[in-house]
Amino acid sequence: MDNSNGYIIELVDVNKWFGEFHVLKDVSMKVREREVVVVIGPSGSGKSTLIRCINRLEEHQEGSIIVDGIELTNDVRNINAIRRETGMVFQQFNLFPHLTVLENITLAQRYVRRRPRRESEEKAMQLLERVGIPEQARKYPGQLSGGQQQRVAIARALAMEPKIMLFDEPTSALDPEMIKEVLDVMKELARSGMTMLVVTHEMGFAREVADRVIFMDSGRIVEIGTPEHFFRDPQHDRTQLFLSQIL
Amino acid sequence: MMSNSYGRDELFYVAPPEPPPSRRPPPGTVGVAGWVRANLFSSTFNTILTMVTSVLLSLFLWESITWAVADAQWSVVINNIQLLNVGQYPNAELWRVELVAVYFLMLSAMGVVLWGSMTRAAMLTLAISVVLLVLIPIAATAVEPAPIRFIVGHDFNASPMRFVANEGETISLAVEPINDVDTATDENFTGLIEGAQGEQNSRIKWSEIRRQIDQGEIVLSDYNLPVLLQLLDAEGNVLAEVLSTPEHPVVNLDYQVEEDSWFIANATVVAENVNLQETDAIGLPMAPSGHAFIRIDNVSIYRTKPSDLERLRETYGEIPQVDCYTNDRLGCQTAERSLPYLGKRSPGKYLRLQLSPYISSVASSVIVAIIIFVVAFGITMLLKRFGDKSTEKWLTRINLIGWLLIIPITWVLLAGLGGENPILSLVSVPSERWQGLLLTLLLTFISVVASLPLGILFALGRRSGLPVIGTFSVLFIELIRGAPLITILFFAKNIVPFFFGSGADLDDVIRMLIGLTLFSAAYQAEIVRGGLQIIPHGQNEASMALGLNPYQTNYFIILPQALRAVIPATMSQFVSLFKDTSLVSIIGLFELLGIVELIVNGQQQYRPFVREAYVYVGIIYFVIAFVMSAVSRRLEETGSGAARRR
Amino acid sequence: MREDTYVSAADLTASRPPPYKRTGLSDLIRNPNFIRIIAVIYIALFFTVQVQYTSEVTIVEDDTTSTTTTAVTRSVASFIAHQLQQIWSDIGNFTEGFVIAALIGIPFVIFVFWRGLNDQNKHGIPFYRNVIFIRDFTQVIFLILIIGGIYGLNQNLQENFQDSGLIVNFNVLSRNYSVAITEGPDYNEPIEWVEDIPLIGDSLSAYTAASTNTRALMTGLSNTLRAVIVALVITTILGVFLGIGLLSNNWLVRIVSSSYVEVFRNTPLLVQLFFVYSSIRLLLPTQPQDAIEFPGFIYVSARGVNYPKILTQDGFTLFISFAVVGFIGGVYLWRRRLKLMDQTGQPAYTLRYFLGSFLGLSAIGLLLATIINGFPLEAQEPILGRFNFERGVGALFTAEFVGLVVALVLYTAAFIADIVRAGIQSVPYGQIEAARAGGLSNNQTLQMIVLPQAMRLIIPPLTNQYLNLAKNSSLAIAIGYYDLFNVGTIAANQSGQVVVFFVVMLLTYLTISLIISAIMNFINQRLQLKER
Repeated sequence: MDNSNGYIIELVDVNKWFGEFHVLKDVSMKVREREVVVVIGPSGSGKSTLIRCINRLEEHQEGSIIVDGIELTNDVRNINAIRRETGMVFQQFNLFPHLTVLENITLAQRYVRRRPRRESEEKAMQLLERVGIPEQARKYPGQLSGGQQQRVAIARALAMEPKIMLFDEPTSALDPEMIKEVLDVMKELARSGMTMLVVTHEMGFAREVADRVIFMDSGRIVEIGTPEHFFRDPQHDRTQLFLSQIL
Repeated sequence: MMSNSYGRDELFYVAPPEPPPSRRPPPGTVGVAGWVRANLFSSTFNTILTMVTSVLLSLFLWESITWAVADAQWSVVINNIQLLNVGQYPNAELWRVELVAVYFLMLSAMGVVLWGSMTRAAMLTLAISVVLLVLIPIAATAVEPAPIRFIVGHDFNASPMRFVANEGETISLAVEPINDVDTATDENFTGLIEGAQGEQNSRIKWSEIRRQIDQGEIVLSDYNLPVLLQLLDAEGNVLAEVLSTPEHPVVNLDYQVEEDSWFIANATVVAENVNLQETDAIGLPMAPSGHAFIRIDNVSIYRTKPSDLERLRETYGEIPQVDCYTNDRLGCQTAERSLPYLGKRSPGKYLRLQLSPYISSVASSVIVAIIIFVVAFGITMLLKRFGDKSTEKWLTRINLIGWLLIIPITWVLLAGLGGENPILSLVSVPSERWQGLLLTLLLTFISVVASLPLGILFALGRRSGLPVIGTFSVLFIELIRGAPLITILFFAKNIVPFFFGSGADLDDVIRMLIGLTLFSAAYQAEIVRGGLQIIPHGQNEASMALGLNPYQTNYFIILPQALRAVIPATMSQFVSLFKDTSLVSIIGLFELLGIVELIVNGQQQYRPFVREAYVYVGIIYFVIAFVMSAVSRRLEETGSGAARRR
Repeated sequence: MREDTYVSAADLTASRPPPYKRTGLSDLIRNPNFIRIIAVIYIALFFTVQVQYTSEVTIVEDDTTSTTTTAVTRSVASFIAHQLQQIWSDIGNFTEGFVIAALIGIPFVIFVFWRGLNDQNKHGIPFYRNVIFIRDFTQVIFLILIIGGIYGLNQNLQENFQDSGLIVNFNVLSRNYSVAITEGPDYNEPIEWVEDIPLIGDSLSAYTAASTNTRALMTGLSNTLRAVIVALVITTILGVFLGIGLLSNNWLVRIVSSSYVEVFRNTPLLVQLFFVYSSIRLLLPTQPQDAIEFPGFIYVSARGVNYPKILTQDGFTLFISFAVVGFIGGVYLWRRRLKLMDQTGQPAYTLRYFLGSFLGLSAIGLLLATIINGFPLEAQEPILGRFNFERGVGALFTAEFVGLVVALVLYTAAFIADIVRAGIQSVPYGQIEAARAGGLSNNQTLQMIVLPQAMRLIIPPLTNQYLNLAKNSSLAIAIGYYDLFNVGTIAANQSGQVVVFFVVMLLTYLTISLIISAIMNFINQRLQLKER
């Protein structure tokens, strides 16, 4: 299905509650193809919940989410289709510890995309080279460093050839010296034209690579802007307060 | 400047260029002496504790060992090895049980080579096996046939004794008069007494005689027993004979055997045709009095089991008919092991008369088992070492298929197919005849295999987000776990058959299997549930984000991790299940514990020795359970998890 | 413009309640617990509500067919089954069950489809792909299968029982039980106080009259409880000592303890039970005249242990009340002193205070009772008659009771030892070091640091072992001890009503398990509060 007006992700008045707690309030935003959008905000602002709603890891109660023209409803087919189009990288990596790196990357290829084993492994090796760690293919995740594990996680998500990559605080669990290697991979990914929606605290990344920055607080989108405008000249009080605290 | 007592030299110090040599630690602190002090005598309380414990422990060990060696009659075990192992499984069909054991051994050996990363343990097992292979035959042949003695006396006639001897052997018969206190000992009495019903009453009769001697009712010096000792062949022809007179009571008879056959030894007290020296006050010859041992040496010792008699019949021909005065069905045969030993035994006698026979009776099976295991192990090892990838793949496939089929194959082999076809048919053996250790292992294995997938299903059901399925799973699990196993078995035995059909048809063994499986599945479900809870939720999320559906997620991601995490608890549950199979003996199946009841009820002479049987059964259970626990601990350390940790 | 740059004008902190939050009936309807209760009641009604209908039975007899109509009162489910059988004469039990369950499940199915189709209309999601529909539909199908399966099994059971001549009838509980039970309250005596229970007392008393099955079962239950409680107390003490022994720095004690644990854990309880019991029977003198005598009128023989029965006289209640108050007061004082030690660092002397309160008040109670009424306890020694001890004089621990308790104690203690060891070991050694460095004595360290934390880890698996012990007491049947299971099995075999007695025994054991769990959970909670 093709998108109608050039937007690959569209959220319209999305509301979500956890029980009584209103966690996403009237969230509306649009992401274009090949765009890199970074979402920042204080903890508890709902930014993780936002991107987890996009691939149905969380369910939204009101509003509509449309990914690549497919609306995210209770329709199983839609949900599966959207999950095929989106790849996700988690804060805790979530690699499968009982499988080798190679098996981690080929598992979904073989059983969801039904690719034959040899093809999956070739693709996996290509991706490992792209993220810079081809020699780790036969090792187990427990034997890799945090930065290496996250890169494997990125490769695993890329193996499904998604149109959109979602990042949920990918570097927050890493030691400082390993953050750079992961960010480099993400930058290369952005340069290659992948649509990316990134929740992060890394302002440097936002400034360098983002096309747009979204600031969320208390479940609302407070401000959206290009990095130049956003960081130099924030409009909303809350944005100014937040930036003054972290920069 | 403060006045201080430090001289200049105390403030500055330079170490000498050569450091002084290290000194040894004080002598009482290290080495054996040090260890003893630290571990046993470190404080007053500890010292007292050590002394009290040592005393109690020594007492306990002394009592136990002396009981086991000197007092306990292990013949209840030695003579019933077959019953304990396979129960009343028909003799002619035992080869099927052996086939099952061979199948299992070969699969295990293959499995160890293909799956085990325990090369060191394998080498150790191999070494132990080789040592056992050498030692067992030595121990088995330590059986030195003790001389058989039985009694003749003035008030009864001894039954003729039938025995076999082989070509080239020399049969030695002798008369040993009991005419002084030294000969009338319990040690010497190892035989049957005429007129007694079975061995139990032989002992009573002998005790009676001893008592009479001790209390002076029988005067040993009045020995006046003329005995005619004859050696007969199987037809009853006299081969040799000798007469023991009161003047020359000690006589013996040696006979060189020319061919393997049956012989009969007959000892009769003669009252006529003999010059009796003793006359009473009025000159009439005195009646015979006293007792004498008849001793038989150098004869083949065998057991009186029907299977052994069969073999004897084949080799030596028909058992000669004699007038047996005893009511013992198998009387008139010399069978050392069926004779109880009276009084205290020395360790040497215990070794020779009870331990060695036990070892020799299990020796052949153990040796064959070891050989099969080693051969299969070796072949698989060689194929793996010198073959290529596809060989290993084939081996793995064969092994897997073998394990998958083991239960149906075992069942068919044990139960038999019946039918007319001479090639394909196996005599059907009803499951009531599957008893002893065979039944225990069968129940354990099948329940273990069946309860694991069932338990996983229940655990997944309990944790599924669907309330209906969850509630039913919880109800089922908690209901089974809250009930004692015996009630579940009761339910399985009495009520489950009525669920399908009119109730009498269902095999008893299958009923018990249903009960044991359900029971174990409920506990297994809880164990698996614990493992499922450990898996971080992110694993599920990552899997879903990749597009795997819930079944694929469970199968590839969640269950492998969960199951691996609960291997120790699962193995412990299996050990429990193994022990719990003993409960079916209450319901009426004769597995290893239940067969003891069968043994002592069917053979009353063993009733007083039932505790020895329980100790033996307990040892078997202990050994198997201990090995299972040790394997589980080994799996924990070297198995799947360890390789993945940094 | 909105996409590229945007500044929110809204109030950031304002929030709305979730959309489905309405008041009143719709709120109640959406409460899942409410729905579940309604569903259960609805299903139950089908099997309990009685309807009257006429049943036509066609009898073929000597070439004449006659139909008789009878009015029958049965449950709704029975009615449906009857109609089904009219239509389809040899419908199998399971098929019948599934059809009935499907019919019962119609409202659920309708509701699920209605919701699915509603979604389809509103949102265009085909119902068969709707996540919510799939979830609900799976559950409804599962429910139908379960109900149908249970129904089918039950029908099979009933029919097969009838074929074998058995009809499940709970009235068997009021029939006679005729096997002698050698211990526990005499089941030939009725329970007096049942009649006094309001409303149901009269109908219940038929069950608790003399020599009924119910009465026998209650005797069996009291025997079970007696053995279980005694065994629990002794095995806990033994287990704790063994657990401490496992951690001792005395090598010999460690070896002995761990050998004990290994041996008794790896041998089945039943084997141990048989060995202990047969040892008692074989080793102890068989004739009561030859019984081994211990000081204090205790006679040990293969029949059991005869010991003086303690009879309570007047004033016993007084004495006991003082003792109980003393005990509670002692516990209270103990905790007070611990708190004091916590706050001020003074030594607590908890044991002295506890013992002082308990023993002191007990002694006062005893004294008072003696002054008023004479000594409140009297010992009735067993008297040896010609062949046996006189019945009713003195108390008896039968050989079976002793055998069961000893085996249970030895077996369970091995498991408890390991649990205690794990619990104590779980307290990080650094804490003990810190406590010592801080100047706490051994005793203080134990009471304030080690024990509270160790207990947290010990209580749940300990509960498990207690439950196991209670369930393992059912092995009493193997040695002829008349516990609940033994009595129940005998009654079941006598009357043929296996289902009735099985259900009764199952429920009783479940109740015992629940009570033990509840008590242990309560203790667990209290221990959690203790250190907060």
